[in-house]
Amino acid sequence: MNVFGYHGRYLRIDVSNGSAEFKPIAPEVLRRFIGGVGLGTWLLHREAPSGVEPMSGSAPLIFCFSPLVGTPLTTSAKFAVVGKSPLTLRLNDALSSSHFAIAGKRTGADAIVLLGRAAEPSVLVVDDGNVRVECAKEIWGAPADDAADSLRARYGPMYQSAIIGPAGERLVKFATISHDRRHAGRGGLGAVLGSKNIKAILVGRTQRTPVADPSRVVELAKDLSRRSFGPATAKYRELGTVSNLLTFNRLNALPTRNFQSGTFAEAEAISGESLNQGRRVARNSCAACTIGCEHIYDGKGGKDGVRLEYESLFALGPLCGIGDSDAILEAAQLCDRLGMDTISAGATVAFAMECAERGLIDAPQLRFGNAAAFLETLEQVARREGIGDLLAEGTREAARRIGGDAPDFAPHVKGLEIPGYEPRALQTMALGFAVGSRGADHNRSGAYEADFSAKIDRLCGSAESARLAIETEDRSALVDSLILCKFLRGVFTDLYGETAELLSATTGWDVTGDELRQTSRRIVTAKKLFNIREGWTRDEDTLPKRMLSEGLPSGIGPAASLPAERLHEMIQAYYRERGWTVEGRVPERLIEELELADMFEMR
Amino acid sequence: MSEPTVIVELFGIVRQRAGTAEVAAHGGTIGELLQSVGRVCPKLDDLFAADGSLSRRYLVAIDGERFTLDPTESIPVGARVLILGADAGG
Repeated sequence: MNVFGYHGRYLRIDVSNGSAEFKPIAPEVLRRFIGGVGLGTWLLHREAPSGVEPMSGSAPLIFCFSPLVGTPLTTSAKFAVVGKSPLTLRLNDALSSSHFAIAGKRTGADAIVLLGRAAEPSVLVVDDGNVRVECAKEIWGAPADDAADSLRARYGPMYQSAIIGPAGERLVKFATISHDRRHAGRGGLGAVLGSKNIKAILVGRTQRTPVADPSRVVELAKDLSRRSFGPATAKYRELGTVSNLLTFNRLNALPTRNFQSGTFAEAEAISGESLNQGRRVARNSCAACTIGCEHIYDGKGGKDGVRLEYESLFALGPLCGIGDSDAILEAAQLCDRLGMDTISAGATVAFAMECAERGLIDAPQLRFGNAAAFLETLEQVARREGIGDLLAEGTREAARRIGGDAPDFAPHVKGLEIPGYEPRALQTMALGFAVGSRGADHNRSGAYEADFSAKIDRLCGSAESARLAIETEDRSALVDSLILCKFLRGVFTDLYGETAELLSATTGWDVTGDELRQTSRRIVTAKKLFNIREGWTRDEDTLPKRMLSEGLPSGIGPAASLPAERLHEMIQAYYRERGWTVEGRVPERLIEELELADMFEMR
Repeated sequence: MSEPTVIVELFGIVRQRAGTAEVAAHGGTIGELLQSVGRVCPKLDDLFAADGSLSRRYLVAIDGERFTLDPTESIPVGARVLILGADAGG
């Protein structure tokens, strides 16, 4: 098929028997959903039977590329992993970066869809559309980075791997899939890959996709690269996201001790500024990236240092009451090697700490601030040993089994643990968490941008919050489908218009900014439709009872509260602005308007 | 009458540029205060846009509560002012 930027097909693989076939993707589908998260959502609607068990052979796991992958556009080397989450039982889309995206697209497919279950622990090798399922017993149980090294030695540098750690093998519900220690982290898709008895997918070969206007793409790439070195990305280059910690702490917005507080007394000692002064050893970047946001720190015994982002720092630090940077770096390295989402891992242990302190579980060693117990528990979770077997289910299920008032303070939305933004202190973000299709999520919703602005009162959300939250969701849907890095967001003055230019030069389509606005709305709504199909109900769009019934005590910053009635009003405003019904469902006229009717014909 | 002294707390890239976590500056309004900060910390020479408005690259908050872009906003006596990058989240 002659579609610039695309192969026009996906590769559907049954790992039970190694059979594979290319299936065409119509150009109008590619134009409607672009790639990445958008195309992955369309493919999930197509390939997942209604009500599918996420870790059954019938559940698809989709690796999705985009038209910009393989171009010289900065930050374009990204891929999406899409599936039904075993943690939330809702759509989950996670992103990772670097060479796997480029190599994956060179296999000759715009997406690779995995189904079935291999007979034994295996690796899947995809090579110019040829597929092999090969025994991998010798690396089953190995940490992700060690296994990746073994595979590199076995298959050579031409192949790139996306791999699970022991957590994925043991079906930990927040296990990750990683490439070169960059994790498609949230929602447990590592467990889905593990349930297929696949340790890693290796991709390689040479099938490139031409772009429509190569000289224009190069010109746009040079301009984008030049702007990517400017002040809009300075924070990521010079400090890294760890610099968020002290800012959030000052605003009383740093989730501390399982969201009991917004201020952490030891914040200075573990801050990004402190780490950067004493322990930073390197800076790194993904393939095809000019920003270089990865800051590497000296951890104990780590062979290549430890990469640390704000979300890992908060979740493995203040959220668990840990004020020891050695312990935090060790925990981050553990999660990397074992293949666990640091946000969910930290939040689950924090939740367990509070349960233990309240006497709801018998775990006398588990106390906020006990670093040794904290590290041991993380290992137990990855291996599903002792209390780890319960915690590996995530906070929602763990709370249900523990009972009592545990569900009131389990820090999740739709089962996905809450990232490092205290909802009561950042109330537009609170709305973003409550309504997000994959659960509590700071990537698919960038609603914190509204809270960190003069547009709104972060301590008193309102109907205006809805409009602002929607703007960030739509922008995220576009950027996650193109795929470009969100750290570029400040570089664009007109995101829709400028990315329309990028897409036009790549594909030859006459794309406009208005079309991409519609595309964004379509993708967000398509995700919603999948969730509705899988049983979403209105009461899922909420926050934990703690957030709505307990005030956030003042810390360095002001006290805050988010009454349930206020959140309800914001959610209703969100539904209105989206054109959804009062119950949060998508009316038929909107399905038609957004050209989504075929979603219902698929299954 | 001399302008009041205000403690200005700096965060993120602002702190890095200034080389300090906080400065004592002077001003009764946000605009006056930021001009004073620019004199005290010469590396923070882009707090204002070309048209005299507050640069959109920064956020200013009084006592860590509300963010403001209004240079005419008065600073309550005893209040502390925060300056952070506009990319504070994410």
